[in-house]
Amino acid sequence: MKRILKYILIVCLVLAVIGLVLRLVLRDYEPRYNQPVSEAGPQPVTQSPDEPPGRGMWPDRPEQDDSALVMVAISGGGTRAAAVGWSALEALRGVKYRFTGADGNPVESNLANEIDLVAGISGGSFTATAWCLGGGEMERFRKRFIERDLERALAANFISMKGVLAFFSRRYSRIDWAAELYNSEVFDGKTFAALPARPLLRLHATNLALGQRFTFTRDTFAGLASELNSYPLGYACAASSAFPILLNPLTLRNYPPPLDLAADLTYLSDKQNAREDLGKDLRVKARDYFNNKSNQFIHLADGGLVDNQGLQSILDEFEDNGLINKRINFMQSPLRRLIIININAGVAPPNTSGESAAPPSIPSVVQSTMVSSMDVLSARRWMDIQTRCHQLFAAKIDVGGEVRSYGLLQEPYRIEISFRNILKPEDLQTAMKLPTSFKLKPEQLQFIDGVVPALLREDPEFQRLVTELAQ
Amino acid sequence: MNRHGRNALFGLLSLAFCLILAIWGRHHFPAAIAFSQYVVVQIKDQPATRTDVLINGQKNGTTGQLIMLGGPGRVFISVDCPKAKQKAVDVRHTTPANPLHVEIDCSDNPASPTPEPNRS
Repeated sequence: MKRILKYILIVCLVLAVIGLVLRLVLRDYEPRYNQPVSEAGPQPVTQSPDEPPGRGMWPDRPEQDDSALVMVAISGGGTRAAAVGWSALEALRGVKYRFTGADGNPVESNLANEIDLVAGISGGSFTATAWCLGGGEMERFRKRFIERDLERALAANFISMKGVLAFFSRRYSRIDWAAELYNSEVFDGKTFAALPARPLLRLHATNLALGQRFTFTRDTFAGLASELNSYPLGYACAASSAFPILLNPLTLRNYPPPLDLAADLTYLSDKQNAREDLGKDLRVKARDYFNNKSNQFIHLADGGLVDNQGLQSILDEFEDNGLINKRINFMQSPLRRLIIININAGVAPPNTSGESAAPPSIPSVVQSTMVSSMDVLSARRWMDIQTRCHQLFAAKIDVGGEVRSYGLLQEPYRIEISFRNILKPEDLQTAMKLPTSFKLKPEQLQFIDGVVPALLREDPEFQRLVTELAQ
Repeated sequence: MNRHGRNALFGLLSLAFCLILAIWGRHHFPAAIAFSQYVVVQIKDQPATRTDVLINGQKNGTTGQLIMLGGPGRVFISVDCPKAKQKAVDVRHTTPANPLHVEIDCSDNPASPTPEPNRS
């Protein structure tokens, strides 16, 4: 007995020594971080006016209708959101879109080909990225992400070298497994440099220090004295989908030196208006936080924590120098159609707490509070977009005949693809039971592929657009 | 899933929920929607000249044409010409039919205080 105890003690001692050595060796093992800017040093970034975003995406590619601005937001919701986004984009591809090209000849296209901007949150960020990267070619992405059991692939890391690294390093963690997996096996190691100029991709995460949206743009990275082009798309998607507790936040480096914000007119304007405009106040706080270089690291979690449908990204484009204003203000080619498509994979299982006198259980309370708060925020943003669209059209009514850019403007289209609009009760029930996870069963994917095109066809704003396109 | 598993999962969800509340507690309800504002920018003494307008340093519109802005407040307005003297302008209570008219001085004269722009 004593001998066995002695052996156990020796084994424990050896393991403790190995553990200590590994901790000492691996404690500062680093994940892949964003890179600093070159020796030229950071400069206040102003978008080049010759780039498409600098002119509100005008002029479009020759195969696109110059007079249309189409913006899509894909919500969060794990693989369910990615699958809903995929099905919606495929359905849009099936909508014929004819227009007269720059050379005066008719062009046969489809509505998906007209997309100028895609915003993605959490699970939806993967589909948004794949769409922009693949130029509409999405079959490989479906096999690599949507039809795959990613939860198993991530869990396999626990018993691998990566698991050892995550256990002993204080910097490398579970989110880095996910980022590496998405980078190598979903996006082939491609970085932001691989994205074409159109459509514009907006990926969002949450900056945990400020409780604010963090958008992966060149402007944001310039504030970190870092360059976006070399940053892997898989890492950005990992940050956007890093649901708290289940996955660690993803970390970015904030490099010195600070920017000269006194030379940045957008910052100065925001600062002067911060007291009366919350959005500008938040932007000023973010710029100040990044410019304080003692904040060496930025920790990012799931973008859905502050905007689960990506609609704030669309609202941003109504700002002074947003895409929508610029597209209207550049008179060379009047804007005819503004089309905003909200792809919402949100689910809300039925709440039966009203059927019982007993107080709701803790899980029920947690679920109600989380879902209803997120829903209220998103519904509010969707209504704000409606208000903005009404303002735009009211401007046309005011001056349409006299101002060229408003002359052809149709009432903006706000198309919503949402499970909540399902008409058949049994389909609605099935949709509301779809899980928020990184794996879906084939029959669940089949259900999504069946129901999403129907939701598009049944949307009244989409019907208005189709009627107008047919004329 | 057994009872312990369920409890662990609910514990995790509760923690996530607390974190979300903590983040929202920091600010996050969307700002009240702003009303679009409208300006028309011209070069002083050259009303027929057409060039790009700079809003907060970014090209956004053309001189002599209606320009839509995101909301009320102070913006820096200039034009894309040498010697243009930028103006900080407070834009409020405008409509497409009643925009704020702003004149930008592009002459060789050194910058001098200019009167507040007039609304038409």
